[in-house]
Amino acid sequence: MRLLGCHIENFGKLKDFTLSFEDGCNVVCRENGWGKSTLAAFIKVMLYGFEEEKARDDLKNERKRYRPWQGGVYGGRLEFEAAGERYVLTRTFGTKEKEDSFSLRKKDTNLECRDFSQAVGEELFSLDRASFCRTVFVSQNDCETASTDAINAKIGNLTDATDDMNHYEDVNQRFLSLLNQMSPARKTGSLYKSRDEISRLEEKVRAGRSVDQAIEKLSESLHEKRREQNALKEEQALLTKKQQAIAAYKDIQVKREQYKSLCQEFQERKEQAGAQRAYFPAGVPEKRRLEEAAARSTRLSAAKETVQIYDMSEEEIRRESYLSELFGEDCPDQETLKLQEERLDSMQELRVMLAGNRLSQEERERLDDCRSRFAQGVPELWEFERVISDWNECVERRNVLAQKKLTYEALQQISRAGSTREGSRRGRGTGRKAIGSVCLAVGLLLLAYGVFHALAGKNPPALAAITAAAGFAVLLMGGALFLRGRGTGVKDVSRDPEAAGDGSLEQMGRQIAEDEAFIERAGSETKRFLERYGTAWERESEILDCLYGLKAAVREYITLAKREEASAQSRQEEQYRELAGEVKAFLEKYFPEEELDESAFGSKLAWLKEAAGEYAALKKKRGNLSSARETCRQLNEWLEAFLGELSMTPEPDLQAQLMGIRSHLQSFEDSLRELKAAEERKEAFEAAEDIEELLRYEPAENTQALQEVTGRLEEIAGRLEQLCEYMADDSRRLDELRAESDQTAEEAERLSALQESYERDCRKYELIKTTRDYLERAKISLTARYTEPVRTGLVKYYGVLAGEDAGRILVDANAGVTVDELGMQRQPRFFSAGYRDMIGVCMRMALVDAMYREEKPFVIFDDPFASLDGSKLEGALKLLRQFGREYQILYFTCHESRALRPDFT
Amino acid sequence: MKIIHCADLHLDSKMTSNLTKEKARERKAELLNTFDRMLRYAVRNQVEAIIIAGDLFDTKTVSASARNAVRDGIVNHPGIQFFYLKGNHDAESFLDSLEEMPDNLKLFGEAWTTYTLADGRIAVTGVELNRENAGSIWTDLTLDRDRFNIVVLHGQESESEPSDGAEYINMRKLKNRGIDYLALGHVHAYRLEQLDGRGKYCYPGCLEGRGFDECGRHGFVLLDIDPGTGLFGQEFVEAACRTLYTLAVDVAGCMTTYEISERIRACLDRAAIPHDSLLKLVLTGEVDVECEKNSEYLVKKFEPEYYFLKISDETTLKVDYGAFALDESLKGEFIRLVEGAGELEPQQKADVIRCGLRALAGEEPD
Repeated sequence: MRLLGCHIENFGKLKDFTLSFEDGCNVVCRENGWGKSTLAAFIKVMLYGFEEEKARDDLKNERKRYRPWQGGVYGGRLEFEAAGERYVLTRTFGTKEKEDSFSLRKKDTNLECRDFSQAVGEELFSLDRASFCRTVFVSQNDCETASTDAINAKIGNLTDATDDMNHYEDVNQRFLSLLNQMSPARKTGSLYKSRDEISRLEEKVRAGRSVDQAIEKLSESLHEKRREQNALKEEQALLTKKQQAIAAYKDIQVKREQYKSLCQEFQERKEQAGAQRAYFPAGVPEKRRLEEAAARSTRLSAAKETVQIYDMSEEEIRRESYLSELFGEDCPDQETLKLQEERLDSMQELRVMLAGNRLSQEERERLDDCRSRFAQGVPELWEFERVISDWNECVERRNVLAQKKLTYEALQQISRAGSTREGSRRGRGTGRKAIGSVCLAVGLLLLAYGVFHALAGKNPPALAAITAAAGFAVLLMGGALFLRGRGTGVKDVSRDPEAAGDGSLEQMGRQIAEDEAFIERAGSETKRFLERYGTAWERESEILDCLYGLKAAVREYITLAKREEASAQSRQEEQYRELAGEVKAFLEKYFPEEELDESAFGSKLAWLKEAAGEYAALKKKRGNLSSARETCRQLNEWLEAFLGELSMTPEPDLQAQLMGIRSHLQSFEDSLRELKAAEERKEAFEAAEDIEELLRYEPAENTQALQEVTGRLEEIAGRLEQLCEYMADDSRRLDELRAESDQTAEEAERLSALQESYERDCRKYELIKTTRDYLERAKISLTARYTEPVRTGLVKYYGVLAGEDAGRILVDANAGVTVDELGMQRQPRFFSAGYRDMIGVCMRMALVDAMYREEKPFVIFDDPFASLDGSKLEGALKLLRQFGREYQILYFTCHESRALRPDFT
Repeated sequence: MKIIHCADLHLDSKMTSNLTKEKARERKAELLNTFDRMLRYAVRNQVEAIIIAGDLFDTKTVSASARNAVRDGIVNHPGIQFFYLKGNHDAESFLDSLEEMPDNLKLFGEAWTTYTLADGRIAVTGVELNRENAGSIWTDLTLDRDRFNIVVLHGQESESEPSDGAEYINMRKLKNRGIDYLALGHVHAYRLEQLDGRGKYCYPGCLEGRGFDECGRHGFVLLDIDPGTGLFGQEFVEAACRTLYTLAVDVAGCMTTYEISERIRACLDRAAIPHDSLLKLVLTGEVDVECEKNSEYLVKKFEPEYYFLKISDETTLKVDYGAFALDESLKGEFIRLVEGAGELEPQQKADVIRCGLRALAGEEPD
């Protein structure tokens, strides 16, 4: 294995740098700061990648540390030879690993190959980065070394069969970790915890035993109580039975009494019914027959009462005889009598009528006067009405006419006075005012006059009203004039009262004229009317009386004339005589011996009617009496027969006797019903109860003990209740204890499981511990077998470098180096830097020898001998030269003194 | 007359030793259902009495559902006489909880108690054993030899008289005492043996297997007795709703988990175990110390096929020391070193070697 060359595009300060390597020792001697360590680092990075990439410190973080100072492509190319094949490894680096690129080509074909992966260093050297840095790569100021798994593996795996040595440290660490996790000594160890839990559970289970004891004790107590409870219940059952037996006997006693009572009642009812039956010697009558008899007896009583009612006195008998004799067989009936009465009434009416139509002498004279007076005709009554009305109005108008004229004249004067004044407004106003005042005065007078007459009733009402109305009108006019007279500066208004006054005056004048015409006409007509019928008057005030007198005379004349006419034309007298004849003929049948006058018709007829009525009544009474007597007889006969059937003697008061029989029969029936009911009750009881058993039953227990039994039962019930409470408490407590016990059982189960698991884990712990022990011993045994070649190499190289025997430098199975100094093996770190470097370089070379026995690798020395003094430096250079014969060496130094001189061979 | 003899029902058993909480709850319910199924069987087959020879319940505290199931089962079957003899697991809590003792529930005490059936022609006699009476109770047993005598006990049969064992039944002292059928409880597997010239003794086993120490068929015994002749027949009636199986699989020579899996598959195919069963596979045989064997994988692979499955690895390791005699690696050195370790037993050596090799191969110790 050797390096052929490298080309750095950019890496740290190195840029576009190319270097070829030869076999043997390749010395790069450059001044400080040239980039020797950077070049060495480039080779390491090309093989193993960057170290400490996550470090924030730029110096530690190699990716950052070797970032190109000048920029550009970060990376380069490395050419090497391995197993006879030449490769070109090209890598570029980004800011992160994923930005890196990797390419491996075979130099001869320039074809990419996969002989090595990106972990090319590990695959090439069979070493990890750490082991590489401890052996093949000797960096500045880091010459010391120590064995690693990889180194041991590399040393040990000579056959390259397995790489188990590589895993030893991992296994060891994992075992250690597991042992720590499971540690029975550490508090955090699972075995420690399990042991702890087991102790806790053991304690609990131990404590649980006392619970079992408590359960046992409480169970015993509960059993005791249950036994007592059972015993009490048994006793209770027995006593209850006893109590029931006593109670049952009591019941039976009650039933016996009940039955006895029923029997007694039945017997009593039977006897009672028998007694009731004895009342009827010939058998119990049918109720229907008895009811009929009772009804007949009632009817008999009624009939008897009727007989009493219709019983006739001596006088009645005498009267009956008399009337019978009077009327014989021809007693007038009511219709006949009524007819006669009607005839009599008609006679009366005819007599009155005849008397009414006949005129007296005085009436005849008056009729004659009237005939002469109204010879020219009889005025109609309606004519009187019209003439009287006209005359009354004539009189009224005449009465008012004087005042009207007076007013009219006054108004005329006023009007004339008003029209002559043409002056100033003031003057006119004063004039109006004066007229108005006059009008007011006149109006007031008229009004007062009218009202007075209306109230006094002296003049006709119409006249009084007209006067009052005129007065009021004048009053209004006066008021208006007065008010206008007071007004000034109202020109148009001054004309209006005049116009108004002129209009009224004119109207008043017309009325006066009309009134005068009417008075004239009506007066003359009235007078002519009176004169026509010969009526004279002296003063006009008599005219009205004359008119009414005339009217009365006309009425009398008409009446008298009618009566005269009626009297002259009548047949009433003839009728009257016919009627009188008929009535007389009728009466004569009953009063043959009497001279009958018309005046006696009425009394005779009345007497006859009364007699006929009396006779009819007496006849009817006689009939009723006979009928009642017959009924009495028949009923008596029936009732006596009925009582005979019953073998009973009729009593005077049959009805009372029958009532008594009925009452007895009712009582008898009631007794029978009661007897039947009593019998039914008895039979029902006999059906419901075993009477024989009932009568035979004798009490098994002493009934006196009932109280004692009840008392004892109460005691037992109390005690049972108490026991129930105690037992409930015990059961509750027992349940709690059982739950605790079950909990303990569960914990015991858990304890058992935990103990099992603990034992298993203990076994595992021991197994791991033993395995780890044996594995360590195997590893030591194995590495010890290859310690000797390492030590041989160390002695060889140390002899060359130090020029002395390396006898006191010892190497252990773990490739650890100690120096026997003053009787004690001491760690190299206790020695000087130069000494440490010498031992370190020699040990590295010894290790490389031991590791690579076939294909030798290239070795990089980055100025490792800077700490050596002159004599040791000679030895170091000699060592390099010797080493270079077997290995390709890349040796970097900054000083010529440490550079290999060409002549130094 | 038909009589059921059952024992060791262990109702309310927690069932948590192998199962998850959910499955344990399910099994607990199944246990109650099996009890109920037995009662229904009794009704269907005109059974007139059920003898419960101890351990009706599993714990001292009985859950309400178990208590009610038993109480209702007894009360709702008044035509069946229940002869309940308490076992070592039974507590008084069930009986304490009963407000009124059902008429058809017959109990036994610390002294011999006898009940009769079939007009006195069958006698059921029993006693609850404890430390006090276990030694002396046997002489007190008096049986009418003219009857068909059933004696009920709960305990472990024994030919000798242990010094302190309340649960031991001295079989020698029960021989030739006129017992026709000795109805026992305590042993969880069905067993029928001849007691003496006249009688037999029988453990019906538990109704349902709970753990892998109770594999196989479980149920109760149906007795069919002719009270007139005293002849009887007995029949084991399987009642368990699930069965537990332990199946040994020889994986000798297997080098990988796959090979072991194939062996298991072949074994399961042969056994044809119902899928609703609880199964324990025991891996046996000698396997190479470097055999790659992943028990977790195997459990995951076969677990879905059964109600429950667990694998117990009882294989032994075979180390071919000769193969490592010339191995110059750390492994070879290690094996040679362990082989020569006098302080280790051969199996220990194998275990250490397997542990070391697994570790070197980057695997965790078994």
